[in-house]
Amino acid sequence: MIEASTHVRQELHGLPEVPLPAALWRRVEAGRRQKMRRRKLLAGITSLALVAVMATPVFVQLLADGGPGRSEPLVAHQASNAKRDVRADLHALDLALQAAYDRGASDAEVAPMWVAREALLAGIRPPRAARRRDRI
Amino acid sequence: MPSLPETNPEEAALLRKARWGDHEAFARLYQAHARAIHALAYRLTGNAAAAEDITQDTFLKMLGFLSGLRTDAPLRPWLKRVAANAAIDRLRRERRFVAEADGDAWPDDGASPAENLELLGVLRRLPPLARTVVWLHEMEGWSHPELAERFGHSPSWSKSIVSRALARLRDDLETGVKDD
Repeated sequence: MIEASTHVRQELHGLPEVPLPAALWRRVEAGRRQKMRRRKLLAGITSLALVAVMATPVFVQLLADGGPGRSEPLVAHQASNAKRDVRADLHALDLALQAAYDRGASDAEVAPMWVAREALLAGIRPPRAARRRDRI
Repeated sequence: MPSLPETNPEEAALLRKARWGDHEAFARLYQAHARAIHALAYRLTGNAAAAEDITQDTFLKMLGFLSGLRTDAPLRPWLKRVAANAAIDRLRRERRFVAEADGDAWPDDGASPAENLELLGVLRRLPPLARTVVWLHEMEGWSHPELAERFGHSPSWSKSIVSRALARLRDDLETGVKDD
C-alpha cells in the first residue's frame, strides 16, 4: 500500500512540463499597463484631495490668528510632529497592505490602501523649492 | 515537497522597480516564474483558460507585493500561494464542493485503457476538488491542517480526500499497466 502510494507520488513528480502559452505574456503585460495607468490616476486624484484637506486647517488657523505671523519654533515643532505621525501611518498602512496581499485580498480591497499610501508619501516628500532653499 | 527556489538577491530590487512601472523588471520576473505558476494553475484547475487567467491575476497582484519589507523571502512561494488560492476560489465559485464531498460524485472508470496509461489523463479524471487537494498536498507540500483551514473542513476531511485520490490514481495506473 505504502509502496503503491510512493509509486503514484513518483509518477506525479515525473509528469511532463506544461507548456507556457507564448501569447500569455502579451496579455499579462497589457494588464500591467492598465493597472499602472489606473494607479497613477487614483494617486493624482488623491493627491489633489489631500492638498485640499491639508490646506483647509491652515487657512482656518490663519484666519483665526488674523494673518501670518506665528512664531517659527512652534511651526517647526508642529511640522516635525506631523512628519512623525505620517511615518507611523505609513508603517501601519504597509503592514495592512502586506497582510491583505498575504490573505489574497482583491484589487478592489487594496486599491484604497494604495491610494492612501500614495497620499501619505506625497505629504512627507519635501517640495523641490524647499530643497533648493535648504542648499542655499 | 519540491525544493524551494533559491533566494535571488536581485529579486527584491526587480520587484521594487516593477512596482513603480519598470517594464523590463516586470518582464524578467515573469520570465523567471511564469512557467511554474502557469503549470501549477493548470494542474489545479485542469483548464487551460483558467490557468491563463490565474497566471495573469497572480502577476498583477505581484505588483502590490511589498518585498521591501521582507527582502529575505523568495518570491516564488508567495506567487504559488496566490495562484493556489485563486484556483481554490474558482473551485468554490463553480460550486463543486457539495457534490464532490459526496462519494457518488467520483466518476466511474469510463476512460479507455489507453487513457489510463497516461497519468496526466488519470489526474484529469479525478474530481476537480480531489485533484486540487491531492496536488497541493503531494506536490506543493500543503499540510492537512492548512488544507482543512483553506477549504473550511477538518484535517480528517483533507486526509480522506488525499487518501481516496491516491488510491484512485494507484488503481487507474495499475489498470493501465495491466492493460498494456
